[in-house]
Amino acid sequence: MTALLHLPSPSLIELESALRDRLWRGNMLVASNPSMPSGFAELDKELPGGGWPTHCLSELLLSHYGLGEVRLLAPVLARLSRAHRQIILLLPANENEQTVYPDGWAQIGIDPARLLMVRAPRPADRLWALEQALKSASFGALIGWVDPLRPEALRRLQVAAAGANGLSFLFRPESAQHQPSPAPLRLVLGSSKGTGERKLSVRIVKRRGPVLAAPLLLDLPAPRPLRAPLVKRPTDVASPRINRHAVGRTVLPYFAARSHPAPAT
Amino acid sequence: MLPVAVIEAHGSKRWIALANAAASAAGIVPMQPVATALALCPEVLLLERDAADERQALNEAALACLRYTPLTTVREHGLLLEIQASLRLFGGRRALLGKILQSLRELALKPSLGVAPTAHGAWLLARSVEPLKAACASSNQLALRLDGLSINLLESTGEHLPTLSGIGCRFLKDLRRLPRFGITRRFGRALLDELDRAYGGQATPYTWFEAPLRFEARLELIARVENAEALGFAARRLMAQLSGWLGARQAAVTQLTLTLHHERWRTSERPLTHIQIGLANPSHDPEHLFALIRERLNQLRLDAPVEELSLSADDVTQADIANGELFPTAQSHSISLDRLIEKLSARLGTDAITRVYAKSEHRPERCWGMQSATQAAPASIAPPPAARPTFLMKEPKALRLCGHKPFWGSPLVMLCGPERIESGWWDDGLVERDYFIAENEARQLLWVYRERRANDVAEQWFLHGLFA
Repeated sequence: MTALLHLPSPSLIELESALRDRLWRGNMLVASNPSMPSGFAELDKELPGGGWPTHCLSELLLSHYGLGEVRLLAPVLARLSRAHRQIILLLPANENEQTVYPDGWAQIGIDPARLLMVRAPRPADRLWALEQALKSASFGALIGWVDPLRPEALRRLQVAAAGANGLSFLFRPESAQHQPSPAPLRLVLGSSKGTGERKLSVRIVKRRGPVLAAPLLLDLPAPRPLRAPLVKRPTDVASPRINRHAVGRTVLPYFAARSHPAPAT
Repeated sequence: MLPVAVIEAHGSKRWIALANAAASAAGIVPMQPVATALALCPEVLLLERDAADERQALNEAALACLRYTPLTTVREHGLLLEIQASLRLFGGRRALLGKILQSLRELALKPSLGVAPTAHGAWLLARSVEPLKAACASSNQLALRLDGLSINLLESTGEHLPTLSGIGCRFLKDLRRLPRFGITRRFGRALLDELDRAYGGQATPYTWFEAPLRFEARLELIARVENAEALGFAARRLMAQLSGWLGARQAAVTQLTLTLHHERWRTSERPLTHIQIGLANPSHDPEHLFALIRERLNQLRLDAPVEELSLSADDVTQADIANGELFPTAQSHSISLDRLIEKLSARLGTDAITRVYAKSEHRPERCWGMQSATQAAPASIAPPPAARPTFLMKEPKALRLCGHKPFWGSPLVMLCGPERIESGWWDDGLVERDYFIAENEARQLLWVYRERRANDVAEQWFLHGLFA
């Protein structure tokens, strides 16, 4: 070591160029496990390995549900479901309030037949179920909506996740970002504060690599008709159309208006 | 250690059959009269030998060993297993012996093992070693190893033993040196035959043990057990037999029943607790089956102490034993998924693990159903023509109005809609709703609707879903 320090600087440069492929520097991203592309080019660029990492836990921290957390994962989940891999959902504890709506998952490209939903009201059972699922390594992706977790429990889960070749995501409350966690990847999801555009802001608070200062702004795939403008004074347009359709037919007045331009003129 | 000896009755005489280390140290040896033993060591605990129990234990052991070889035979004091064909499958002699030893220890037995090219040679070797030890001889060592054994081990010496030791025959090699004709004339044909069987000069026919058609095993517990978790150890003994039986029948089990026989209360019938374990996919893996039993036992609250356990295989199918795989494939994924589902439903209940399927309906709350994950996977669902949220409220939540705008965290901004869903006049669930996609200041995308038939103006907006 001392001999190396006394070497003149040119040979250090030579040494560095010789070791370029084998030397890890602090500002480089480390990819230790295979990963799956997230479907968002901006995000892939910042994730170590160029995508969601396998064999470890990824924490997604968010203040409340409905920000687009599932749509963020939709591209990779869609790919897994097309490959007939299972997606295990450990649903939130207040599960008597919400249920999975299969049509909504089908719409963002995820085959609902590949979803396996696990419900466990007691926190101890939820942790046990998560650990068993991680150990079984039989899933393409595992998504857990978890309650406040103790660090020991998280460490246990991370150890179990190391053997799983699928993706493991934990949705946790935003307040957990200041607690230490063994998960190698932690993202805070939020909404962009600016008006007008609807973008999901993703702040990477922990990754195997340098700190990322600015949050990423991602364009999520919006629910399809959202691209269409809202019909002015909806009731006026809707009521004459409805009468023409059979009872019980789902009608989207906007599409109806577009497909039948004749009566309006 | 307490000196313990087992006694055996021969007519009116009672002999010591077996003594433990403490008793042997006091001078108690097999074939000693009981009176002598008591004089040597008055505090010795004498136990009567129970032939029926011994036979039962041997049968259980034979069942457990069927996993390793189909050719098993039960003899008076032990088992003979033909393992030549199993050596390769189980990874060699050492690995196989380890597994057999492990299985027998699960049955709380302490076997001594002998391995030799001839059945009777192995038998003599096994009898010559201490419990939990193994003596092995290859074909060229066999004669050498047998020569050094005492003639006491032979079964057909019987009343000739004093004569034999009188003429200086102490080991098998001494006996072999005698002229064969002379042995036959003096001690009968049996002794020479036994010697030939051991050294391989004569073949031995055996009748092999056959597994019963139905599996049912009972286990009487030594002590009353009041803790359900402690029953796991006893259940493990039953599982060892079950796995041997499944191996012999090339079968896999889909339904198991573990019955707990509780302590009798006064004169009434013995109360029973039946624990039924159903499997989605047939399994013959003892570890997996035991994990399911353990989960169920951990949940159990015992009303009364348990005296006896019994295990029966109720539903058995032919096992299709897959080849081992080097890398995980789709097949091994689906097997481990089935196991996960079984394990989770053993603890959380079958309705805690579900899949969704689609119904032909327009009303969002009725267009899907839940089915247990143990059933066959549902058909794929085609994407709907209009926007649908990923999560649906079980009960639509009424939204209050704030300045004529519905309010959820903050006033909502309608982004898209309306989409009218009007259906169900023929049953009780008439729905007349205009659905909108709305957003609040926290940027949550919500699926809200306005009830068209609302009587009260304040009650007309509802939150029904979440675009997560």
